Amino acid sequence: MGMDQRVAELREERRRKYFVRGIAFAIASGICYGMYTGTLTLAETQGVWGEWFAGTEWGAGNPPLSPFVITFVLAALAAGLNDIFSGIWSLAVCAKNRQLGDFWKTVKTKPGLIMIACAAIGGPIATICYIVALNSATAAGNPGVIVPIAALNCAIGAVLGRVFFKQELNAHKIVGILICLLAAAIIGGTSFAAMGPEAMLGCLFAFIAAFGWGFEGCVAGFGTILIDYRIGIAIRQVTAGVLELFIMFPLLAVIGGEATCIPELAGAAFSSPALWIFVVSGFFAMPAYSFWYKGNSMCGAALGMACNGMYAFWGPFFIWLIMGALNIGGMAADFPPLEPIQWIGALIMVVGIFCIAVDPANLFGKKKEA
Amino acid sequence: MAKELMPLYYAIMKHFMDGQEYAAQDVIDALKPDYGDYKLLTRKDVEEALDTAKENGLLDESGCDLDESEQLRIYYRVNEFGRDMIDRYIGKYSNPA
Repeated sequence: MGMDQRVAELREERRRKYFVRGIAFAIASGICYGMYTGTLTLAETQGVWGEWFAGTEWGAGNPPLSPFVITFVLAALAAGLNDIFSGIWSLAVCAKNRQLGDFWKTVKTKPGLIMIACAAIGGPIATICYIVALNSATAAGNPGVIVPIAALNCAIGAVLGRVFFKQELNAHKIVGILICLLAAAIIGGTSFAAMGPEAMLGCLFAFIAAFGWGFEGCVAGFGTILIDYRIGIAIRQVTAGVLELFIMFPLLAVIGGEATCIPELAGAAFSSPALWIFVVSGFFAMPAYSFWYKGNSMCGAALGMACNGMYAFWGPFFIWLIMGALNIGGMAADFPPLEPIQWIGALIMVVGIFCIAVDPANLFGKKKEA
Repeated sequence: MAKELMPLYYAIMKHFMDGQEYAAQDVIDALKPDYGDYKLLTRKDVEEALDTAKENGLLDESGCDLDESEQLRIYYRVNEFGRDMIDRYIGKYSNPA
């Protein structure tokens, strides 16, 4: 065997390993996303959170919270707890790799500032909307329903990429986006009929979340080419957690005219045993986002987002698995398996995401040679 | 040291700004004096960083061969897009001479 042939073989092997590794990261991000969604939903049913959302007296005879506080202020608090814990986990990973010095230096540079700006949009705006959506859908009896709508961020990212960065948007991507919208309509349509206005509110906020994440995915993807993904995700989660917990949470409380409840709610949340479940949901949120960035940078944003977008499937699945099948939290009766039509809708959405990501001409036609 | 070093990732990318082709080991050897105590200055991590930069269009592959220990060695060179990105986003950062 000639030298050249050996080199070519090794080169091909490396290419294959890298490709498989990229796809593994992207798929793992979607699974972790589902686990984070499931654990977060669980956390919000436990301890004082359960009393808050039930709209009953809570703690030692405190009056029930107003609907505004339940919908928005608690969402900011939950998002803040989840993201701050996930930020701490991310910093722990950096510390393990002795990257804390680089973390701090990167924050002060231009790519670091772009990361912070993305986190401000993806965190306080998208994550809070996502939790508002999750909570109203939970109240309506089916939290899984909003996840596929939030998964539209992948389609929105493609459109925004076209608008802002003049990225190409060819026929197969447009077809994919239309399939996604159709799937969302199928899933959403079932829920409107079955569950009424709360689910509608949930779907609306899930859509805003999808918009925020679509924007983040397209801008952060651009900004993180020059940052190690572990440092990038630490910047994102710490920024998001701090903004949500220290700005959005009190701000929303003041807007709702309930400024006095800020210390009470924060105190109760931090002393509730449910805090530990947020530590776990934050633990899953870390790889959900860091593998999202990593997968996108390794196999290209389109394919990366396609694999990640399979959380349209993993989200409802893990909510049902954790809360329903495993009955953690003791409310299994409230979390029946999803309707068949919802599973079909989620699957159609995966097909749509796949169409966005992969040009059928490349898949079935001639292999592209670099 | 009077001035602090820039993040390792920036230093890896900026190493290509002289227009020459380098393999992962070349970059490691060049950065070793400054970044020797970094845990991620390994062949595996730097190779992945270069591969990813290639995937994102900053670097081009300029060739490959086998090194002394019969391991695959891939060479990279910065392209116009990469040069533009590096200049625009991290151009003003440098290490103390």
